[in-house]
Amino acid sequence: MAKDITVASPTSISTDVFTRPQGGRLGATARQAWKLARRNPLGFVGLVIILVFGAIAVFGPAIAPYGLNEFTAGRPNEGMSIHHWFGTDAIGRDTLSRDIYGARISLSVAFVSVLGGAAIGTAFGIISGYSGGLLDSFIQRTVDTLIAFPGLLLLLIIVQALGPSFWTVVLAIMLAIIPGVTRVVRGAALSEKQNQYVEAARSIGAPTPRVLFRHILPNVLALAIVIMTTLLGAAILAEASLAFLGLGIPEPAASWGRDVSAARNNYPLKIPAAFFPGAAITLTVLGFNLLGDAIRDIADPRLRGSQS
Amino acid sequence: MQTFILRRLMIGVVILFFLSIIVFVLLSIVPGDPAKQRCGLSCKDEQITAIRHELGLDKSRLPVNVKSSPPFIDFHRHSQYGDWLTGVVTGDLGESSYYHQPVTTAIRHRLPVTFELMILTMIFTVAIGIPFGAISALFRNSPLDYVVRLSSIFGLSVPSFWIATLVLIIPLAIWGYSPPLGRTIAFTDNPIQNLKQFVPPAAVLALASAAGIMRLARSSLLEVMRQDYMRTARAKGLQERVVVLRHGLKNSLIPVVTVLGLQMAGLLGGALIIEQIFTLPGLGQYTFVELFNKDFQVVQTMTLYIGVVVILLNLAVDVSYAWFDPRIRYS
Repeated sequence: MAKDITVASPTSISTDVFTRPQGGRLGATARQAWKLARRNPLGFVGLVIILVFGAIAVFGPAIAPYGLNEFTAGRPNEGMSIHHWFGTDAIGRDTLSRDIYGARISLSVAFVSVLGGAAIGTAFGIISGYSGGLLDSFIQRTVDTLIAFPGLLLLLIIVQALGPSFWTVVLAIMLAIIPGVTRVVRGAALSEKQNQYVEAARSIGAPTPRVLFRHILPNVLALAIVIMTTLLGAAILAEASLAFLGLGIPEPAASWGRDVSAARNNYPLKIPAAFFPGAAITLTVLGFNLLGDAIRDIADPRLRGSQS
Repeated sequence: MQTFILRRLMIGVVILFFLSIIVFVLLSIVPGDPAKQRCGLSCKDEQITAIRHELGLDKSRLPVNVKSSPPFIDFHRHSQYGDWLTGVVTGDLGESSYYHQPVTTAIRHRLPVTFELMILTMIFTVAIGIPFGAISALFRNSPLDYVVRLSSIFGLSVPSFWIATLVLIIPLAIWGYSPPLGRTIAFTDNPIQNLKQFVPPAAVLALASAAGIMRLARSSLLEVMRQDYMRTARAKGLQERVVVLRHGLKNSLIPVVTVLGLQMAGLLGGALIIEQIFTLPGLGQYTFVELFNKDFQVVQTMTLYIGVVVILLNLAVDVSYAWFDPRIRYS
């Protein structure tokens, strides 16, 4: 019995460690996805949802049965049928097609604003944590202020100030993201600063920007990426809320949030017209939240299993 | 303790000052003229000028003399920012030009609505979030745990305006039922009608907040259960019930209380979207309507009000830590 174990374990180790990934990069990615699926089934479900919606966003025009603003797609306010799976809206546009096009807006706003916001927030966080002193206090008080600023109101004011468009919505969500990222990254940068490799870099005369972006940045990057995944869902919700309140990206673009609002004010009431765009928002956000949790579990083993 | 509170209050004042500048500058960029909005379409130029003068809109916006070089702060000249801030500090919050009503009166009328909504939401949140979070942690990896975890992550993913819309239109489409909308009915006048009005929006709001609390309570309790003092408590022969309730749950509540405090602050500022959908005349709806009516002074004041609430509740949360964990001492 004991002999069996001593024989079995070295072989299992050798297959794990010494086998080279076969099938190139794609194979390695697939294997990683499989690993995620086994270890963290919920995270894998999230990944699948995001990939599906990503595909819908990319191939939208090819999938959608009707055009985005095809008023002649059907009669106004049709119910669900074989020709219009989700029915039509008040001016005869196909609801399913609009939901498919809506994925583009939702995902592009979320990705652009979160990438931008996380990048700027990380930069501020590193500078704030590393520099300390007056600059640190100034940045931190500004962060405090922006956090005390009621979130949705900030978004509404910015979009109203600059006029609703794709870029103003992105800018508003970016500004709302920056303070939180700055706060978290600053904490990480503060602890990285104590490490000897920073001391070493400084003692050989590396200028501050080099220390910041070549030495500290790579070490807080994992954290920044984890925050980013969790923020993507929030960004989608923010865009949808703005659109629902009438301050999203204006027509003719399709937006899930605005479609829910339009269905609410429609007479006769049609439940599918309100249900499907909202369900699309929920599923997308759910996907990002599930994946975000999984990534956080993997990135921070101390938290593994303790968070849902 | 006193010095801690005092220091925090002083930082709070600094934050509020920053906030006043940021919101003022942001609103300065918003296009639109409050005077025109107030006067209406068939309005002559001299009338607009008169209203502008009455509202103080003909003054410069910030107390900065841009003509001098370098531009410097000019306290002698009155400015819109200076007037507004002086008013807020001395308790004169100005008047809403849309409702023809002082802002203080509006807050007095609307605060009870927002407050009741907040209380109901918090009751639902605590009653659902903490027990289910705790059960989920105690029976970890059981089917119940999975149900709780899945429903909490679902609750965090659902847009509240969507659920609110469905809650309103589905009963309306099927049974022709709608909760009493518009005018609010005071709880003391007619409790049942009042609850019919407030329970649906509170339940919708609680969906997201309870989901967050569930997750947090679960992970926090799991963390606490790993601690040495839990093993000690069991080793000295305490009943499992006492171990879990007194040693486990109480210690796990610190992060939960933090988040509850933040949620409370957010709700006291007015649940903008939900109040709007359920036509509840609360503070959130007020701010929203005034923003669209270009009544910027009111929006500025409301932002500062929310800032005050957030700062005070944060402080209250920090102070309450000392009660939950006697090891925490502030100096």
